[in-house]
Formats: sequence, C-alpha cells, structure tokens
Amino acid sequence: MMTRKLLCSVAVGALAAGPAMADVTLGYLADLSGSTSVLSGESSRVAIEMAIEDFGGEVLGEPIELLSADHLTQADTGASIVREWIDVEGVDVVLSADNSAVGLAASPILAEAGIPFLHGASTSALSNDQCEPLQIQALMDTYGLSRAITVPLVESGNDQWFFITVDYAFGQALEAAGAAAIEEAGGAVVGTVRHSPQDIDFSAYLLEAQASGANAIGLATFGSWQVAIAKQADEFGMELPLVPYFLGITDVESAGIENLQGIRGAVQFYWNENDATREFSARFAERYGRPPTFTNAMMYETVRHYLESVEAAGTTEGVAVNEAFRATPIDMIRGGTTTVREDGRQIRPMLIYQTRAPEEVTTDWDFFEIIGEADADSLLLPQDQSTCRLFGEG
Amino acid sequence: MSDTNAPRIAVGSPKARHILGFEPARFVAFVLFVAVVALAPMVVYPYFLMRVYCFIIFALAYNLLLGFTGLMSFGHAAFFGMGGYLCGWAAREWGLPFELAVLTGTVTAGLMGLVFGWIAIRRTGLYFAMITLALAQMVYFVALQADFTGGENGMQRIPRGTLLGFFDLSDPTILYWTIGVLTLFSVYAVNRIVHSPFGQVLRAIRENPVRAKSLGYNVDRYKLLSFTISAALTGFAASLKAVIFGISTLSDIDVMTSTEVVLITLVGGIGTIFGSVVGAFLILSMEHFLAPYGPWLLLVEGVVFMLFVLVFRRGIVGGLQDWLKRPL
Repeated sequence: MMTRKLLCSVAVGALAAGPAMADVTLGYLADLSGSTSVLSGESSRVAIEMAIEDFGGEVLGEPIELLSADHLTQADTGASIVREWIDVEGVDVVLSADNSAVGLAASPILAEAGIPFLHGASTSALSNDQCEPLQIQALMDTYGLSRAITVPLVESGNDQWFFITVDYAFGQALEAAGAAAIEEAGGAVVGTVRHSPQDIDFSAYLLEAQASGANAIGLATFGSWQVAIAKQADEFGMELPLVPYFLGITDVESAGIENLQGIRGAVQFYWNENDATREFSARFAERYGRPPTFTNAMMYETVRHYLESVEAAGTTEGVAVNEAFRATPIDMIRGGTTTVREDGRQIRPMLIYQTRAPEEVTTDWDFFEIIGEADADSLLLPQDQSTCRLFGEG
Repeated sequence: MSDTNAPRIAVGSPKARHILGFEPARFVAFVLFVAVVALAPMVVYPYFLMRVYCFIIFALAYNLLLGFTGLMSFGHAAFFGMGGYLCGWAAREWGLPFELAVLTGTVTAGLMGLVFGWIAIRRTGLYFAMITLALAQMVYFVALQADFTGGENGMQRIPRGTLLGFFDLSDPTILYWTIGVLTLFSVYAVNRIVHSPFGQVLRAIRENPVRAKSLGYNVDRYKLLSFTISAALTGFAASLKAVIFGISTLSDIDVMTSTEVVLITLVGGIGTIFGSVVGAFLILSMEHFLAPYGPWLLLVEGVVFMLFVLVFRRGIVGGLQDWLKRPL
C-alpha cells in the first residue's frame, strides 16, 4: 500500500510538473499534408518565420521559438497536439488550425488553459456559440466569405443563383449564408445540388444548373472539387459565371488559368494589389519561390501583431497579451489597419477580383484583376444576430 | 490442425496453476503491464498513454473476434465511432455522469453489434468481412450527415464529469488512474472470457465450425454473442476515448480506424491477449512520432503491414509465445 501511494505521488509529480517557461513559444498547428496544405501548410510557416525575423527574433529579451505540427485534418490529432504543447512545451500562443473540426476541438482546451488562439479556421461557430475571450479569427468566416462576392453580383444583375455545395457542414453553412445574402439583396436561389466528398464527375450538376435558368453558379465547395467543376464547365463551354468562395492563387495555378478565366470572387489579400503588397511578396517569394496566398499574408500580419502585443503587455501571459492585441489596431500589409470585435472577428474588407484571360497574365502568378472592394462592415455578422456571449460584457 | 496458415494458439495445459485466472506466463506478462501502467506516466506523456490504453481495449475486443472466434470484421470503426458519439451525447446533452455515459456508449455499440452480427454471420470468410465493411460505410455516412454528430466538425466539449460522483475526472491524475485501472480490468476480463467454457466453444468454432456444430453447439448463436461482446467492448474503448479527449469525430468512424485495429492485432499477434497491448503501443508510438512527417506515416505503416504478413505472420507476441511455448 505504501509503495502504491509512493507511485501515485510520483506520478502526480510527473503530471503536474510545470513546463519550462524561458522562451516565447509559438505553436503553429497546420495541415501539412492534406487538402489545404498547398494554400497554407508549409508556406504559412515561412510567413510566420518571416514575421519573427522581421521582429528581430526575440521579444522581451527572450528568443522566440516556433513549434509546428501536422494535425492531419483530424480533430483528435489536433486536440492531442495542442494539449501536449500546453502541458509539455509551455506554448504561449497557438496559431492557425486551418480546419474547422480541428479549430473547434482545440478551442475549449486553449480557453481552459488561458492561452490565446489565433486561428485560421473559417467556421462562423468560432465567433458565435464557441467564441472565447482569448480567441481571434485570422481569416474571414463563412458569413463574410459568402457575402463579399454575392451581394455585388446580385446588384449587378446576376440575381438567379444555383448552388453546387459540398455535402457537409462547411458547404452547408456557406450555402445557407450565401442564400440569405442573395435573398436580402433581392435575388433568388433557383436550385441547389449537394455533391458528396467522393464525387469527381460534376457534369450532371452543371447541366442541371444550366437548365435551371440561373445566371450565376455559386460554388460552396473548395480545393480539388472546385478545380474539377471549373475544368468541366470549361469543357462544356458554359457561359454561366462560376462564383467560387474560397479560391486561392495556388488553386488557379493547379487548375490552369485557361479553365478559370473571367471568374469573379473575393479574397482577403492579393499579392499584386499595391506597392506595399508587392514589396512583401517579393521578400516572401525569395524564401518560398512563389508569392504569398491570402492565408500566408494573414498569418504574417497576425504573428507580427501578436509579438507587438507581447512587447506592449510586457508579458506572455494570455489575458494581458489578448488585451494588448485588441487594444491596438492590426497593421495590414496592404496599408491601413483592422481591429478585432468582441467575438474575435477581425473587421476587415475583402477585395473583389476577376480572373484574367490567359493572354493577359504577363507575370507569373498574376491571375487576378482587382475590380473593387467589399466594405468591412458589410461582411460582419450583425451583433444582434450573433450568439456570442461576449457581447456587452464590456 | 493441418492448415499451417491457421493461427496456432497455445492454450496451455488445463492442469497448470492459474493466478487470477491467468496462466503463469500470462500472469508474468500481466504484472509487467501493471508495472508499465504504474510507472510510465513518469516518463511518457499521460494523454498519449491513455490514448494507447483505449486502443488496447479496442484491440482486445477485436482480437476476441478475430483471434478467438475466427471472424474477420472490417466494420469495427462503426462501433468505435458510434460508441464515442453516444457516450459524448449522453454526457453533454443528457448530463449523465461518467459511468452512465460510458455505459450508454457501450450498450449502443453492443446493440449495433447484435444487428450487424445477425446480418453478417450468415456468411463466412470474405463475404462476412465485406458485409461488415458495407454496414460500417452506411453508418459512416449517417454520422457524416446526422445533426447530432456535428458532421465533419465533430462533437466537442464532452464533459468528463466525476467518477462515482466523487472523483473529479478533470484532474489528469485521477483520470489517468481511472483509465489505467479500467484497461487492466479489461485485460483481465477478456482473459477470463477466453478461458471460460464459452471461450472454449469459441475456439472450437474457430478451429472447426462443422465439428463444433456436430457436437451440438449452436454455432451461429455463439458467433453472434462473440460479435456482440466484441462490439460492446469496442464501444467501451471509444467511450473512454471520448471522455478523455472531450471530442468524438469522424476519424473514429472512418474505415482507417477499422484497418488500424487490424494492423495492431496483426503486429501484436492474432489470438493472443498481450499482443493487443504490444501492438497498440507499437503502432500508436509510430503514429505519434511519425506525425510530423505527414504522408510518410502511411507509407511506413504499409511497409510494416506487408512485413508482418509476409515474414512474421504470428506477430510479436505470437512469435514470442511460440518460442516460449507458453500462451501470452
């Protein structure tokens, strides 16, 4: 019995032993091998390293350490990594988790531990039911994504919509928010098909869309499905405009611009927008061999602002850093600033683009022509519709 | 036993002295495992160990079916996934305490096993495996679409609650010992099942179903019971996992989980008790330490699988058992 007790107490010691707190430790939890690894993955790590280097490599006199791990797009893997980072590595902030399931799983663990979570998941749930005081959304949520391009298109006459939606929560949420925006702006949804994650042939859906009398096809899907739909629409010679919600320059590169010309969409950052973005992109391309995607740029901005906040707060303690993070506006690479709302949403505009024709692409990766801007406030879920409990707490 | 491919299982002499129902060699292995459970958290990250323990229970359940009854199921992920979801739902939405939530997950998986088994045991061999796989895929799509599972976002914020209304499981130390003791108990229980008269009949069915039937045993009834017990124990493992990690997601119900448990069982040793323990430690360590290398993990797992199938079919503990001529 005595030995049993001894063993218990030793084990308690092992479990409770606090991690070493010397460095400032950033944990980048990413998809390094799955569907978003090209858009974000390794390249966003390069962006974070750049932000750390630009900051001087240390903050408050402590070296900055960057951990990174692959969540394999599995929520339980991601949650285990986060837990281990907290218990063993003494992580000070967790970045990205660019997958809704992983983000939702990591959120309560980090909230309980009092560690800031600057996430790159796009689900609106993380700024509604599952909003947390120390949680900040670095990317646009599904609400903003769905409205940015929808409303201007409806207003310019594309008011009959057909949705091709990936049949799970992300697609359904995007479609629902998009449909609400369309109806609000005076348009109508004339048809919807849900495609299964296993689908590779979309021709039947495209023909159905053509027959429905729609004048815009909303693609509430992403990645390889989106590329396949674009290619097949091009093979049919379809004139109907496709409207992607989640298209990065890397998707265009892999699909080929000839399959995606004349498409209109919205994006948070475009590398060839102005001198400031071009300067940043040239530096990024030196390290990674291509211009930054919007996720790369968001990670850079977020990490830079985080490090500034640590310096301003004079500590890495979560609550104080979070206060400093929200107290000062975040500098955008493109110029100007954004701020963070109580629910953790960044108040940020989106750029409206049109993809160029192949012969117009004179520089590598210069696929988009910026034709407008969606106002930041129009992309924010109105406070009275939000279910986030943090509103009104002060 | 003329078929050299069939697993040779050392049963041990009935005259051998049993300690806690274990044969002497197995008892030594059990003591070693108790020591590992007691000492490992000092050097290894406890949450990783708890994950391994869940998969040990899962592999024990699977081995009961494959190793001791001779039925190859490719659908155990369905029990694992649904067990976890139901346990999570019971704890979060119905506010049931730890014991009842785990019981809910276990019973759900057991009932599913009863239905799956009832359909599948009408066929044997490859057809049996295919039916279980097909049923599991159906369950997967239900989980993907149903509201209560949260689709691909998964089910989060499953509360841990308290053990017997007294021990707070949100304390990692208490949680660890609870899971550790339940795992040891599972090893003990499966060993008892295997060595009960019921277990003897299962082995007879595995060796020669026709002869077992001619001796008057209702073979289908026994197979169904074995399948149901295996499914229930799988649900138990999944319920513990849901409580430990606070989430239950599609990756638990994915076909990859079914293949993972096959791999664990094969590497450890089909038809052994401690093969499940060794296999789970080995495969999960591999996954843990190769995780930063992404797709390489799958490649390494594939190579390990082929290696064991081609040259080391008895598995690690199975090979050890042959060498020692003692059941492990």
